[in-house]
Amino acid sequence: MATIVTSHRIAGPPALLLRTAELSSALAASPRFLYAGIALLAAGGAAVLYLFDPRETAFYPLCPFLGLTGYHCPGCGTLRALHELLHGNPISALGYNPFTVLSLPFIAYSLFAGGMRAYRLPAPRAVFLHPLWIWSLLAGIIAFWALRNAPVWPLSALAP
Amino acid sequence: MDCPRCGTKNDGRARYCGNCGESFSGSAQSYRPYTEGGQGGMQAEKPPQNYLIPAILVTIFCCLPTGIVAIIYAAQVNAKFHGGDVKGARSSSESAKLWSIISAALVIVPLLIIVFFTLMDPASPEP
Repeated sequence: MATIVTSHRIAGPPALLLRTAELSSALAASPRFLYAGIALLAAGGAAVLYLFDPRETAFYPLCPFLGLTGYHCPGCGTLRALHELLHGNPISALGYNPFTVLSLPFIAYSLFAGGMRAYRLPAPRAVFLHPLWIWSLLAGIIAFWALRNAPVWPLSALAP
Repeated sequence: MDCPRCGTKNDGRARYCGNCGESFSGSAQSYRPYTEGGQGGMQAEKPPQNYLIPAILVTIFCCLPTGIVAIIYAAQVNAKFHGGDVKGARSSSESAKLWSIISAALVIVPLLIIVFFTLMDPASPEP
């Protein structure tokens, strides 16, 4: 924690980034806090998303990419999709953002396994993905990004 | 886990190595093979963290091309480790972490600033 204190002397936005990085590495050094924080954040986020519909509430932030360029990003529709999922409408959620909905089980599994490991509880083995899987995921995301912005009918269904 | 003696891959719950019969009960690794430190030089090189999940999360929630950069580095971690380049994989791991943090900060910091100024705005409607 001493490193965080010394960075007070540097001013401006780079220092802020640096401190965020240091704070996160301090957290990563104590994975229990990290995973407890993630669990709290997820529970809080789920509660807010359940109670407040992103389609009718003003306080949710607009996607910065959509705001700057006018095009949808691969994450656009995530909040609406999660809201629909929390209300038990998986089909409607898929319509808002299929990428988010499909990656959710993997994210949940990985965070669950990481948390169990951090607390020394019985956990499944960490999986080493063949690099081709990750390259395919990358290609899939970029294709999804491009296609959901196409203004032609079958593809426009991918837009939120 | 990999056997500390002969390096053979074994089931995580195995108590003895299927190849050489080495007992795993004495080593803490058989119960928590992915914790830091552990058995010093004994253990086989393990892949560095690829930060794929944080990279996907910032791509979904931060909506910036920087999330894609983090995913590229995550893929590089596994590609380099798969190809035997452990040092390169470590440096890609650092980059994947950095770009995930940058993506998160680029959204969180402006959001906090907006929230701050909204709360401090003297012209905010008050009946």
